[in-house]
Amino acid sequence: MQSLSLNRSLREYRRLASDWTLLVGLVVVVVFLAVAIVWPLLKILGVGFSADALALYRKYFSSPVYLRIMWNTVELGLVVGAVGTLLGFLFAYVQVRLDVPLKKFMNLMALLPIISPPFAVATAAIVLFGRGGLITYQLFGIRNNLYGFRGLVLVLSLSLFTVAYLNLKGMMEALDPALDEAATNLGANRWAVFRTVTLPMLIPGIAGSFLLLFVEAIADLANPLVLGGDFTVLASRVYIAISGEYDTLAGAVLSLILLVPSLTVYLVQRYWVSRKSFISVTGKPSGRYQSIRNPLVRWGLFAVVMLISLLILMLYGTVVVGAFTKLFGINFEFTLANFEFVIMGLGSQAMGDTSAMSAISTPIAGLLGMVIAWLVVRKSFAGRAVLDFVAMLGIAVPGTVLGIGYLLAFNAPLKIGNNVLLPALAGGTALAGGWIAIILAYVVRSVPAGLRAGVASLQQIDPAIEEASVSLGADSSVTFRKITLPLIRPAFFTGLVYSFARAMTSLSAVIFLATPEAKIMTAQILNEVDAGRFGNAFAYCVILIGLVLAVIGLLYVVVGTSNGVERDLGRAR
Amino acid sequence: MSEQTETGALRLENVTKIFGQGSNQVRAVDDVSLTIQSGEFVTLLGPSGCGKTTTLRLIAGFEFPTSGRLLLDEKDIANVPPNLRPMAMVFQSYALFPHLNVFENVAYGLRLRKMSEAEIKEAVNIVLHMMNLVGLERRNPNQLSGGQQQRVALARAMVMKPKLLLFDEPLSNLDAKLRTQMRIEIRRLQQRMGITSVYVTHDQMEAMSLSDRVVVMNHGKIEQVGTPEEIYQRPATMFVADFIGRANFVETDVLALDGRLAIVDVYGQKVELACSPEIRVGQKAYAMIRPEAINLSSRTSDYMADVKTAVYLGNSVEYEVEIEQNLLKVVDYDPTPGVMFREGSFVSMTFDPERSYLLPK
Repeated sequence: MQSLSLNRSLREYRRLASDWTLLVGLVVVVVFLAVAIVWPLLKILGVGFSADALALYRKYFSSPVYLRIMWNTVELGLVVGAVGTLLGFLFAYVQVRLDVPLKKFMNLMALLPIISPPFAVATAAIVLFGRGGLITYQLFGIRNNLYGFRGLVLVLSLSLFTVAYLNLKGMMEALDPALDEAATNLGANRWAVFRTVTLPMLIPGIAGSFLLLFVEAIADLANPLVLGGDFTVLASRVYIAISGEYDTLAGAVLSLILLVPSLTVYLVQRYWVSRKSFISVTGKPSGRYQSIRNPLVRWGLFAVVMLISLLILMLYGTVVVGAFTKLFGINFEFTLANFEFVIMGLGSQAMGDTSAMSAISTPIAGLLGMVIAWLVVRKSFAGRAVLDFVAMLGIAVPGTVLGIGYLLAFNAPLKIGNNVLLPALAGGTALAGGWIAIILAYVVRSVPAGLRAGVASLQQIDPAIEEASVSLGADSSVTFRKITLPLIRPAFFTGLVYSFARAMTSLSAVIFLATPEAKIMTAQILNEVDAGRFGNAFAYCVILIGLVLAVIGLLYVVVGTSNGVERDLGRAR
Repeated sequence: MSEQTETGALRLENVTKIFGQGSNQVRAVDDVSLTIQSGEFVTLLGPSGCGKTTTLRLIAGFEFPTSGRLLLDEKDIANVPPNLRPMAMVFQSYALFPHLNVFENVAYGLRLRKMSEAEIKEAVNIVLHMMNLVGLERRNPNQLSGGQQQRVALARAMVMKPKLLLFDEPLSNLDAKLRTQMRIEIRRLQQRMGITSVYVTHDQMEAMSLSDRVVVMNHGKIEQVGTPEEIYQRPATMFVADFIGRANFVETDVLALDGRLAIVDVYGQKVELACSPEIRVGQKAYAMIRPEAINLSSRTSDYMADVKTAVYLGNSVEYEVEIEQNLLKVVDYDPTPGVMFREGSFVSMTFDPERSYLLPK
C-alpha cells in the first residue's frame, strides 16, 4: 500500500514536470521558501538547541526577571486580544446592525491602522496622554504615566483591532437574517436572539480574532520599545540582546521562547478554530436585518464607537499636526523643518532606500502569493499542504524571530569547503549593501496576505473555466496568465497593496538587517522617538502614510479595481 | 464526407481510476473497455456517481487512469497532457471566460494556435453564424441568456475542429423547452461535421435522442453498450431495464428454450419471450414488462387485477394494479376519452410478449 501511494505521488510529480512552465513555477516557489523561510528558521533552531543554549534556558526559566518578562508577554497578548476583539466586535456590530449616522467615518477610522507606520499611534499617545501630555497634563493637570502595561494595551488595541473588525464584520454580513427571524418567530426577544443565535454563530470568529490579535500583540516590537518603560516583553528583550548586548545566542534562545506561544496559537487559530465556522461565506443571505430600534442600545453603542473613532482621529490628527509644529504640546509654531529633515536632510536616504526596496518586493510578493495560491488550490501533488503552511509561516513567525534567523543565516557567506555557495546577503559586507536580505524579508512577510486572498478568490471560481482553457490547447502558464490572473485580479490587487503597505511599515523583521547602504525608515523613526525629536518622527510618519496612499492610488490605476480589497484583507490575515 | 470521419476513433482498454488512498479508496471507473468508431455519437449514461464524468475526464486528460490504456486512432494518449489532445470539451457550467467577450471566447483556442488575425476572424464568424450568434460578438458572457451561453460554449469547442468532442452534461442547466431545442441542434451539428462525440448525461431522454450508441454505467462499470433500441428493448441487466424507462419485473420459471426465445410461466400462463443469452432452462428468471406493454380492459380473462391507483395525466393515464400480491405499473398512452378505470375496480390484464424481455435472476 505504502509503495503504491508513493508510486502515485511520483507519478503526480512526473505529470507536473511534463508541464515545464508549471515545474519552473513550482521550483521557484520551493527554492524561495527554502532560502527565505526554512533555512533561517533552521539556523535559529540550530543555535537555539546548541549546548550553550541549553544552559541559557536553565538560567532564564529559573530567573524571576526572565519569568516576569515571559509572563508580561503572555499577559499583554491576552489583554490586547480581549480588548481588541471587543473593539472589533463593537465596530462591526454598529456597522452591520445599527442604523446610525457617520458609519462611513467609523469604518474609515477602523481601517486606518492598516497603512499606519509603527510608532505613529504610540508617539501621538505620548504627547497627548503622557506625563506632560496635552490632554492629561495641560488640560487636566494629571501627571499620567503612560509608559508600561496600560499604555501598551491602549496603543496596541487601537492599532491591531482592524483584523478583528474585518473578520467579524464579514461574518456578521454573511449571517442569514432568516435565522434571527426564525428565533423571533419562536418567541425570542431581541436580547434572547442575540444571546442564543447571533453570538453563538459568531463564536468562531470571535475566538479566531482573539487568537490572531494575541499572536500580533506578543510579536509587536515597535510599541514595547517606545512605550514599554520598565515593562519588558520578549520581543523587546530580544531586541536589546541583539542591538545592545550583541549577544546573538541569547537573542536566538529568547526568540525560540517567543516562537512557541506564537506558533502554537497561530496553528490553533488556523487549523482548528477556523474550521469550526458555521457560516458559509458563499451563500448570499436572503432578506435584510431589521436594525435595532431600542434607543438605549442604539445610541449607547453609537456613542461608544463614535468616541473611540474620535480618539483614533485625534491620534492621527496629532501625527499630522505634530509634523508641522516645532514642539507639539509646547510650541505650536508652524514649521517645515521636520519635513526638510526627512526629505532633504538626514532622512532622505532612508526614505529612498525603504521606498525602493518596498517597490521591488511588492510585485515579487504579489506574484508569488498568486502562484502559490494557484498551486495550492488547483494542482494536486503531495506536499501541497506543506507548501501552504510554510508560506504562511512568514506571518505566523514573529518578525523579531525571523530577523534573527536572517542574521544567523545570511550575515556570513554560505560555504561548502572553500567554495562560496551563497555570498553574505545581510550586514555591512553583504552583496548589494544588504538590500537582498531586506527585500527577501519584505517578501516573506507579505506573501501570506496575497496567498490567503488568492486562495479565497480561486475557491470562488469554477475550475471548469481553467479546464476549458486547457482543453482549447493552452498549457498551465498560458492559462494562468490569460485566464486565472485576470479573474483573480482583485485578490492580486489586494496582495500588492498589502505587500507595499506592509513593507513600508515593517520594523521587527528588518531592524537587525539595516546597513549604512540600506536604511530603513521605521528604524529611523525609532531613533527620532528615542531622542525625543517627535516632530521628525511625525514627519516621517506623514510621509510614509502619504507614500503608501500614493502607491495604492497608482496600483489602482495600473492594476485596476479595488473590489473587495477590504474583504480580502480581512481574510488575508 | 470530411477528413474527420476517418479519424477520431477512440479505444479504452481496461481503464481503471481509483481516487483516494488506503481505506478511503473509491473505484470511480472500474475496468472499463470501450471502442468508439470515428464519427460516432456515444453517450455515457448513468446515475450520479456511476463514473461517467470521470470516464469523460480521463478521455479529456483532466484525470489520469490508475491503470489501463487510452488509444486515439490507435495511438496511446495516456501520457499526453490535456492541452495537447485534439479534443474540445463543452462543460456543464459552460465555463465561458467571464473577462472575454463572445468573439474572444470563441477565438481563444485559435489564438493559441498562432493563426493570423484574418483566419481567426473568418473561422470565428463561420461558427458564430452556424450557432446563430451573429450580433452578439461584443457581449460579455454575463449579458447572455443561458441558451446563448450554451451556444457560445459549443461554438468555442466546434471552432477548434477537434477530432473528439466531449460533452459534460451540457444541457442540465437549461429549462426543459430549451433543452429539447438544443438537443436537436447538437445532433444536427454533430451529423453535419461528423466529429466523434462522447456525451455524458444522467437524462435518458437526452441519451436516447442523441446517440448512435448508449453506454449505461453503474458503480464505475459498464452495464451495457448498445443502440437506444437495444438498451430499451433488450436490456442486459435489471439495472439497465429499470434505469432506461420504467419496468415491471415478474419472477418466473424458464420452462423451455428455443434459441433466443424462452417459454416461461407468467401468472400461470405460458408465454414465449425474447430472452437474454444467459438464460438457462430450469432457472428462475425475471420477465421484464414495460408499463406501456400492458393493456387493461373491463372484459374477464385469465389475468385479473385490482386497480390500486389511477392518475390522469392528460395524454396518458398511469395505473398501479395488483395481481398475485405484485404491484405492476401500467401506462395507457392512448386513453379513450371518458374511459378510465377507477381505483378499486377489478380489471382484466393482457401484456404484449413482443415488447417484453426475459432477464436472468
